[in-house]
Amino acid sequence: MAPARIVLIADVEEGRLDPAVWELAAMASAAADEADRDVRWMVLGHEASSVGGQLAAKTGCAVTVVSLPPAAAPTGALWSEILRPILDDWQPDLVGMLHTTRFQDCAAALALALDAAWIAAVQGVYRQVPTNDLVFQRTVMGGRMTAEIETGGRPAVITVLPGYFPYEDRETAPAAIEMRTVPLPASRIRLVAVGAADCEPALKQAETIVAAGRGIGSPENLALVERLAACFPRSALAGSRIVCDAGWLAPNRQVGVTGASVAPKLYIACGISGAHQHVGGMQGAELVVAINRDSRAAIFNHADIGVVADLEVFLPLLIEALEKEEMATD
Amino acid sequence: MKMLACIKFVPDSDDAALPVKPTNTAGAWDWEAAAGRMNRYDEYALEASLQLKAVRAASRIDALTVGAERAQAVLRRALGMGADHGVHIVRTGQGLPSPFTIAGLIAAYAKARDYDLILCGAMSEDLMQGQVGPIVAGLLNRPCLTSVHALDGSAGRAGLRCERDAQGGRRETLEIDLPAVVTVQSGGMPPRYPALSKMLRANQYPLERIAAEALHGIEARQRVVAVGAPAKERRVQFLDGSADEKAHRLAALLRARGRI
Ligand SMILES: Cc1cc2nc3c(=O)[nH]c(=O)nc-3n(C[C@H](O)[C@H](O)[C@H](O)COP(=O)(O)OP(=O)(O)OC[C@H]3O[C@@H](n4cnc5c(N)ncnc54)[C@H](O)[C@@H]3O)c2cc1C
Ligand SMILES: Nc1ncnc2c1ncn2[C@@H]1O[C@H](COP(=O)(O)O)[C@@H](O)[C@H]1O
Repeated sequence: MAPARIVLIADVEEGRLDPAVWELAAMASAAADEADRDVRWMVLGHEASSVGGQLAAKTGCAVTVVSLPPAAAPTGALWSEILRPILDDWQPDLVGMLHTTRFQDCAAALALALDAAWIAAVQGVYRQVPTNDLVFQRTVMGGRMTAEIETGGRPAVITVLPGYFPYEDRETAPAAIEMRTVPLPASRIRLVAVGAADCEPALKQAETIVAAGRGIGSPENLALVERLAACFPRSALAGSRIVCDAGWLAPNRQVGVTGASVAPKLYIACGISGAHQHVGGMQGAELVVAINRDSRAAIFNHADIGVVADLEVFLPLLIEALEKEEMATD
Repeated sequence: MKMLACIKFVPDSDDAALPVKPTNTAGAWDWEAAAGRMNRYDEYALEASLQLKAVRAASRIDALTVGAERAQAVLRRALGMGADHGVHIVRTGQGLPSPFTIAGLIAAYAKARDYDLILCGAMSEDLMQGQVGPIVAGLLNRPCLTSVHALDGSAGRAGLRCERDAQGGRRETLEIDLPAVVTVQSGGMPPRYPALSKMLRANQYPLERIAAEALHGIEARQRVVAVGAPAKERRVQFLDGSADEKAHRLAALLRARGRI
């Protein structure tokens, strides 16, 4: 049998790689044995050659760099136009890229062009015995269930969720780098402006973060969460996207893939379901406490201490217990 | 501007009757017993189309759903919110459908109907994949922007200006040529609540019904072969006792760990 042809795609942002990109290499290792695969990287962007060198040196896989003029604004539409003919030439069995908005914009077009499937937000890959077919794993229902997906032998384009394929550095012989220039295709999407990330500095500095989810029920109940936060030194208040979108908390207090990434010593999730977009921003916390009235909530898979309770009842009791203990030891 | 808003009937995640395990030994899953509602992101998508309609003369919004008989509830609600017409592609079948199947049906319906803009939600809350919109775009050869939360249609006929949160909280502003597909994320204008008078009218409105088999869809390309419980990233220790006992245990644990 011919070795599995795997293409990993990375894009360059302000001369840098997304730090999660190494996980694509770990995904490729999960998908096929080293002896049995032909893995190559495609890197797109302005000034991508040094980044291409990093990929070749660290992963030992061949790299093709598509260098674009600075005027070529990165968009999924552009990536799709550039990648389609190249991938059509290589006919890969598996194409892996990160599950970012830009790759979500173009993954379907690439899959259709390759007559491939597209599986989104992939969290696991394994080979089935005895068929040797790949099985892809992803979560559904707010993270409460996983689904296993097969393509029946069809090639697959997958967008990979960061945080699920731990990558370990190892010694390899650096691989070859090929430089390509491509004529810049017309694009039906134009990037007009990019605004810097706006994250509340207190979130980065806090040792304890108390995070409110939709389960707090109403903005009035935020006072409870605030009082809870006040029980801890160097603490800050954060929220899920639903809470920030509703205007209950400022947008710069949102934790998650489209908000802040935080790594406090203690993270208390109050009424948060545990969708992967939220978990992606708090996985680095040292100790995670989850309070939720639904014992089946996915957040409990990401917590060290779990409390199944109604917040309106439990938070006043917890605040009282924390305040009382403080008095007792003073 | 002629718009198509794609709206999914999804299980109510708060309903205790919702199964979160396979519902048969073959690993299949169905949620007949649980309540359903409009996918939240689709409420935002519909709201975005209603806002565009308000600034663009002679606009029309068709709301479309693919699903079983009871899915038509979301079309009634869409009409109540202000959509002009409801299209029900009737599709029965258990399990988790391939996004290619759903997108194939939507594209087959939309193909000859010249929509300037097709709107989907950023993802369905049950499948959490965000694929149907981009696949519809691919099938119809339209440009696609995912997860936008603000759409500005005042720029003229040719395009739309969209805003979205990119990775790491950065904000992008992009322009997309029409005809196009966008998927809508929460965070823009909060979806309106349907007025009672409009709901009463919506309940009388004749829906356009089409059997899925009557449309030329596409192959599924991928198949959910099993559902199950997710892996535990951390080993959770559940506290037990009354609410008050749990509160004291938690306080003691946090103190022991030096967190207060
Ligand atoms: C492209 C994209 C990007 C996203 N980025 C982010 C992001 O950066 N950050 C983010 O947070 N989300 C993000 N999301 C949204 C994410 O998918 C979830 O919708 C969101 O995290 C859910 O917020 P939640 O947990 O507060 O609400 P829900 O999912 O509605 O959960 C509420 C929880 O509260 C519990 N509850 C209800 N009442 C009570 C009570 N009285 N007592 C105790 N518990 C109660 C319920 O059991 C439930 O588990 C993104 C989504 C998309 C599509
Ligand atoms: N059965 C359906 N009927 C109508 N629209 C759908 C259906 N399934 C998905 N969609 C649309 O596609 C979006 C993304 O769904 P998904 O790809 O399943 O995450 C949803 O927010 C809807 O706008």
